Amino acid sequence: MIRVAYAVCSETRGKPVTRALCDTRKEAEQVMSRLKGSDMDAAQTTYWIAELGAEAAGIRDYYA
Amino acid sequence: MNEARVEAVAPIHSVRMGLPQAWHGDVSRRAVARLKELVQSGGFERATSIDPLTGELTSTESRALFAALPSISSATEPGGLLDLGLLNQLPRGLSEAMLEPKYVFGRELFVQAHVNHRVRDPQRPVGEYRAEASLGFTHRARLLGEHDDRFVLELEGAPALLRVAKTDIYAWNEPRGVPSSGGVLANVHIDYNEPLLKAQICAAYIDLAHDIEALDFTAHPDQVKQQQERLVGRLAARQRTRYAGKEGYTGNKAGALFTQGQGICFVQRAAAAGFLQAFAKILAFEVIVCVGRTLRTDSPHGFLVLTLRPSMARYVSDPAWHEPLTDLRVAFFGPGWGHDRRLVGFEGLQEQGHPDASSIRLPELAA
Repeated sequence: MIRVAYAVCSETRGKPVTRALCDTRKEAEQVMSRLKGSDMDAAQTTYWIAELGAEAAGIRDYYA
Repeated sequence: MNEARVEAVAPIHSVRMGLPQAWHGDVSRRAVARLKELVQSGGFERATSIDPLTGELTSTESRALFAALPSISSATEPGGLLDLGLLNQLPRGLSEAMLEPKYVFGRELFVQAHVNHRVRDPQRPVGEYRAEASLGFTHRARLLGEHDDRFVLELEGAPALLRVAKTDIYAWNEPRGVPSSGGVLANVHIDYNEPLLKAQICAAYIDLAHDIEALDFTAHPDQVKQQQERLVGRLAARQRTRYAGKEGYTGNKAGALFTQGQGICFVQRAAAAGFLQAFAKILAFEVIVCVGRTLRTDSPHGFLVLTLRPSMARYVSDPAWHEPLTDLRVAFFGPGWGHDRRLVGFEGLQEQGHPDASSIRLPELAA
């Protein structure tokens, strides 16, 4: 897989979502850290960063 | 709405050129018979094992068998399934059910209006009309009648009935997704000639054949709806794609992604659409590929809306959230129940065009 973007993902009550698309891992880590600090239900939420391939290009507009 | 998101891939007939039709029929029927033995012996799952890097089948025997299976898509006529030996009989009353009007009094539809998605009362669904709210989709408009080129609808909270162009209603409520010849959606390649996708579709037909044959569209409407719900729910529940960042194949082949892949919600629902559309004609349902957002965090989220015919009952199928088939009124109720989504747009093509006058049965409501 050719890496195109880093997805910041979170999962609360079994419902995973991609919260942001970032160009670098460092940026993704910063976003994840910010979300952990601001989410109301951060204690019940799992966070991770996923590497995305070409599918990221098709959805980038939704994260603009 | 973005029509450009689907690009056509090679049509199904392209790989079949140069050989007589009867030869293909024999090969396909024999392959279906062999697959039946494999499914019934419990060996199907092992036979679908793939290389997680390439998505290619690891067994040469599986590659040969699955390649010989017939391509089945939303273009496949129900009668063709009999010829292939996938079904022994069609559901009773199927063709009559598909002729029933779709735009009838009381049907709930998606419309764009000034709607509120904040929870005002936890006992009431979100999506009611609010004059000061911004323009968005609500799932709660109810069809009352027609006048010229407009439908007349009611929406809770609206000061007057809504009169919306029929073309807009069709754009927001008619099937939309993967072309019947295959296509690309969220970078997922839905190729109905992909051996593993063919195998997943044929195996599902084999597993569900008995119940599909028993489906009776002449029974009481509640019973029909219940039978369809059970069958469509079982189909959707066959998908086992994991969320991005977990284990599994990360490529773009729909068949490999469907049970052994990983991907974000948009990828998962693209694979789901490709698979489910291959059953739409025989089980009488429609698929809409949707783009949404969550209510709590406003994160983009992809899912499918399925509509059963002739009841026109609507459901959300959301593979990333492990919801094979949730009543749409529940799925869009509000964030309190964890059904945390709203509709913001659509993806894919509307291949079938606008429905004709026979699909409307409504009273005339002049202005």
